[in-house]
Amino acid sequence: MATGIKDKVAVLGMGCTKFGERWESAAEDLIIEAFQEVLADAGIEKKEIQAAWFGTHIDEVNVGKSGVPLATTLKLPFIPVTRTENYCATGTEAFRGACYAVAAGVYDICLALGVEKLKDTGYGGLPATAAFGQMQALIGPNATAPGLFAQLATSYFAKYGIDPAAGKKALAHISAKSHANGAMNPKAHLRRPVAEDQIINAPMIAYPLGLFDCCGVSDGAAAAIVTTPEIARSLKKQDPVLVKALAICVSSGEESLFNTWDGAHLETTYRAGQMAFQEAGIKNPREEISMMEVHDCFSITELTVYEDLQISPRGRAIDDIKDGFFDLKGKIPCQPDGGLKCFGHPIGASGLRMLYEMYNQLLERWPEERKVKNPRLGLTHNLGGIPSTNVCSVAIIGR
Amino acid sequence: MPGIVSFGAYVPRYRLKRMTIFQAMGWINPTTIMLAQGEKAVANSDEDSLTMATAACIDCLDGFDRTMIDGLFFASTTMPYLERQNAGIIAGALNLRDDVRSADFSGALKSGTSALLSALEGVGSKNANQILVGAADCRLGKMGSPQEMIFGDGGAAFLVGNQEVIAEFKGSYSLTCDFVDHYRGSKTIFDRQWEDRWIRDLGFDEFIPKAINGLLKQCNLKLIDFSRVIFQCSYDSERKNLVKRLKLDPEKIQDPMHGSIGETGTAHSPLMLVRALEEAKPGDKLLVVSFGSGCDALYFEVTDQISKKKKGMGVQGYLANRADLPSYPKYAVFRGMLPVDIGLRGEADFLTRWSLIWRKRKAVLGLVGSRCKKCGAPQYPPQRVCANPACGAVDETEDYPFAGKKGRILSYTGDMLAASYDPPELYGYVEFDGGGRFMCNFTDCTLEDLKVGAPVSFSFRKKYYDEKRDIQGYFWKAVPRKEVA
Amino acid sequence: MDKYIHPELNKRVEFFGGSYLFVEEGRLNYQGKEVFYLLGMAGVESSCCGTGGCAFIKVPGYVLSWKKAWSESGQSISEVERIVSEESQTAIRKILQEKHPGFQQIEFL
Repeated sequence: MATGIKDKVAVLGMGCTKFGERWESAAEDLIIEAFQEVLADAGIEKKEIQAAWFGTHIDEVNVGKSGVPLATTLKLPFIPVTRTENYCATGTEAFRGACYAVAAGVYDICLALGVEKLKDTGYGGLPATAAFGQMQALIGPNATAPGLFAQLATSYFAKYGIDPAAGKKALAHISAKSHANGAMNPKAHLRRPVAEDQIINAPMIAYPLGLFDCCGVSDGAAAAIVTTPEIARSLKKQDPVLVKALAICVSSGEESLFNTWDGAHLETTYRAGQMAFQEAGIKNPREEISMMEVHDCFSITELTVYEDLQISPRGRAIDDIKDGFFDLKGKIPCQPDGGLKCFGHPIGASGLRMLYEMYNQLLERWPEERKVKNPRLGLTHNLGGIPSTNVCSVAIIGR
Repeated sequence: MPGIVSFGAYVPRYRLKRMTIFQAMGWINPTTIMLAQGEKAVANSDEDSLTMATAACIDCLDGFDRTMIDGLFFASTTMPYLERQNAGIIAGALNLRDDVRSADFSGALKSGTSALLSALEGVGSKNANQILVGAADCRLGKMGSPQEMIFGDGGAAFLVGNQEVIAEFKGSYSLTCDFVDHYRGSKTIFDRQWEDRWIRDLGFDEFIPKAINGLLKQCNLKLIDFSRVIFQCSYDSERKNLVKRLKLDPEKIQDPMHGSIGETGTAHSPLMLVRALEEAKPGDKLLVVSFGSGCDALYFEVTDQISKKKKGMGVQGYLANRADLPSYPKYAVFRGMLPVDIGLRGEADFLTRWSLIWRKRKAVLGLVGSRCKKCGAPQYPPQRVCANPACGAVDETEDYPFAGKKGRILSYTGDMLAASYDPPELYGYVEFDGGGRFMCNFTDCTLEDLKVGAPVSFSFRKKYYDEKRDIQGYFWKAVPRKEVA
Repeated sequence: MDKYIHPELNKRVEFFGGSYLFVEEGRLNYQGKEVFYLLGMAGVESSCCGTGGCAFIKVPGYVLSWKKAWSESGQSISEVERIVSEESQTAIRKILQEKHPGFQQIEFL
C-alpha cells in the first residue's frame, strides 16, 4: 500500500543563479553556477551524485534535447541523467524525479537541476513554438500568454460581480507586494519597489492585465541535491528540510471540452493542492501553511490560486489581499523572494527557484528584513499551459 | 421549371467614406473628387472573396437541408488560389456532401451570372436537383485611382433548383466579346483600365442594349413587361444615359448601391438581383444583365413561393450592420498595399501540413465536432474519448456541426501584444448553445463589445497567411450579436 | 467620489518588461461635466510574450475638485467621480479618439 513521499526525502542542498538578462552567460554557464552553489551547500563531492534529473522546456533555443547537455557540461561521470519537461512544472518535475529515486531506495544521492536560457531568441517574449500541438496551432487564436491568462480575470470578475476598479486594485496590491519583496533580494532581476498607483496607471497589455500584471522573460538556473533523511542527518548538523508532498495534476480535457469549468479558477491547482495536503497530512491549509511561492506569471493567476489552494474562500480572495494576509508580514507570506514578478520565468528553473526560497526560509538563513516568522511548512506551486489546459505542481517542504 | 429557390448576400461591416480616401490620396489624383461621394463597403482584414461568398451562401441556406445540394459554383475574379479549387474550400466550410459537383468560374465580371446560368442549366437538365452559386469579389485599384473609389467588396448567393422555386428562370441571352475595358494579368493584383469614354461609348452603350434586345427578341417580350431592370454599369452617368436610350422607366431601374457598397465586380449583378428579390412580388418579371468580357442577360419571373422565403440578413440586413473605417491607411494595410511592421512575432514561420489538414478537414473547414452518443455531450474539436468525466466512452460518437450554432462568451481579452493587423487581438472562450466550447478569435467588433455572457454567432474567416509559401488558411471566428434567435 | 493622486508628468516608471510615462493632462467638457484624462506612452520590451508599445489614455473621471490636496510625496490630489455609464464611456471614448488619433488604448479607471 503506497504511503506518499512525506518525510522520506531530505533536501541536502540547493543552489540558484542570479536571474535576469544574462547576456554574458550561455545555458552551460548558468548550469555550472547553480551546480557550484548546490554542491557547496550540500557539502558533498560531485562523484557522490548517483543520478540526475535535468529540467528544461524550450530546448530549441536553449541546450538541445535529452539529459546529455547536463552531463557533458558538468562532466558527470557516466551517471544516469533524465531530461524532464512538463511546461512550467518542468523544474518541479526534475525535483520529483530525484526525490522518487531516493524514496524508492534505488539511489542515495540525486541531483535535480533546471535551466532556461531564453534571451537568445532575438526578440522579447517566449519564442513561438507549437507548444500546444499542431492542431491547436491550426485552429487556436493568435494568442499570447498575457491574453490567455487575462481571460481568467474577465471570467472571475463577471462570476463574482466584482467591480473592475476593485479588481484592478487587488491585482495591483499583489504585484506591489511582490516588488517590495524582490527589492530586497540580490538574486532577483527586478529590484525596484513599485507603488499600487503606478501599477493602476500603467497601460494595458491584454485587457484587463496591465504592464505590471505580467512577469518577464529571463535566464536562470536552480538546483537541488536530495538524499534520505538518515544520510542528511549524518552529514549535516541541523534538522534537515524534508519533502512533505509532491503533487502533479494535469488537465483531463474536461475544462476545455466539457461544460462544467467556469473559466474563473484553475481546477488543476485545486486538485493538486488537495493531493498535496493529503500527502503532507495538512487538514487546514489556511492555518498550517507558513509561506508560499506560487506561479505568479500574471497577478490574476496568483489571485485565483489563493482560492484554488483553499486558503481564501471562493470569490473572496480580494478581502484577504486587502487585509495584507499574503504580504511579507502577513499570515501566509506569498512570494517572499519576489516571485516570477521579480525573477522572470526561465521555465525549467522556476520550480527549483521556488523551492530554493522555501528551503532557505526554513533554515532561517536570510537577513531579518526578508525573513518569514516561524517557518514550518513552505508550499511551491507551478502552473504551465493555459487556464483551461495545463499541468500544475504543488510541492510542500518543511521541518 | 428551374429557378431560384433561395438567395442570400453579404456586405462587409466596415464602410470607408470616399471623402476619407480623397483626403488621403486626392493630392495625387485630384480628379477623383468627382467620385468622392458616399461610402464603400470594405472587407475586414480577415475577409476575402472566399469568406464573403461563404457568408452569402450561409445566408442563402438558412432553413435549407444542405445534404440536398448537388453542386457548388463559385464565381470571382479575386480568388485566393490559382490552383486548389476555391469552390472546394467553400464546400468544406458549408459541410456539403463529398459527392457534389463543383467549379470555380473566373476571368470576367460576368462570371457570377455565368455560374448562375450554368447552375440553372444543370438543374434544368435534371443532372442535379439543387446547385448553390456563390459570387464575391474583393478587387483592388491602385492607391489614388478611380477604381479604388468605385470598387466595393461583397458577395451574393443563389440556391437553384426545380422545386419550390421563388423565381422561375425563363430565358437568357449571352454575348462573349474580348472587349478589354479593364484587365489583370496572372501576375498582377491591380486592375488596369482603358479610357473611360471609350468604355462608356463602345462598351456599356453597345453591349447592354444588345444583350437586352437579344433577350427580348428571344423571349418575345418588351422592356415595359419587366418590373425591374437590373444591369451592371460602373458609371452612374452612363446608367442615366442608357435609361434614356432604352426608354426605361426610371422607377424600374435597380439601384446599383454605389453610394453605400460600391461596384462589387463579379458579385455585383447578382447582388443587385438579390436586392430586387428582397422587394419582389409574385408575378414580377426581372431582367438582369451583367457586363464583363461580354454580357449575360437573364430573365426571371417571381412566383407565389416568394412569400415563403425566410427573411435572412440579405443586402438590407448586412447594409444596416455597419461600422466606420475612419482610417485610409488601415484600409491600405488590410489590403496589403502598404508594407507594415507587425513585429518579429508576426514573422514566426507556420508550416502548413497538408496531411494534417486533410485528416482534420471537417473539423477545421466545417467546424464539425463530435457528439457522444452515450451521454449526448457535444465536443469541439471532435474527440474519440468523451470529455464528460462521468462518461469517458470511446469511439461512440457522431458528427456534430457547430458552425450554425449560436453561443455565449465565457471569457475574453483584448491582447495588445499578439501580432495583429487590427490590434488589440480579441479572443476568448465561447460556449455553444446546446453544449461544447472552444477558444476562438472575436471579429467585427471592438473590445468594448465583449462581455461575459454576450451572444455570438460564427463566421468563416481568413485565419493566417503564409507569405513565404503563398498559403491562405481559414477557420471560424465568433461575431458578437445583438440578440440570440 | 474617489481621490486621484496625480502622477508626475514625464517621469518614467520602469519595469521588467518596459516602462511608461505620462506626457500630458487634459480636460474636456462632456454634457456639462469636466472629464479629466491623462495621455501616456509606453514601451514594452521583454515581457512574457512579445514586443509592443503604445500610446494610451487613462480617464480617472469627472472632476469634483481639482488639485486641492497633496500626498506625502508632494503629488497633487484631486477628487473625481468615476465614469461608469456605458453610454458616457462610448461617447467620451469617441471624442478622445478623434482628439488624439493614435492613442488606441483608452481605459476608464
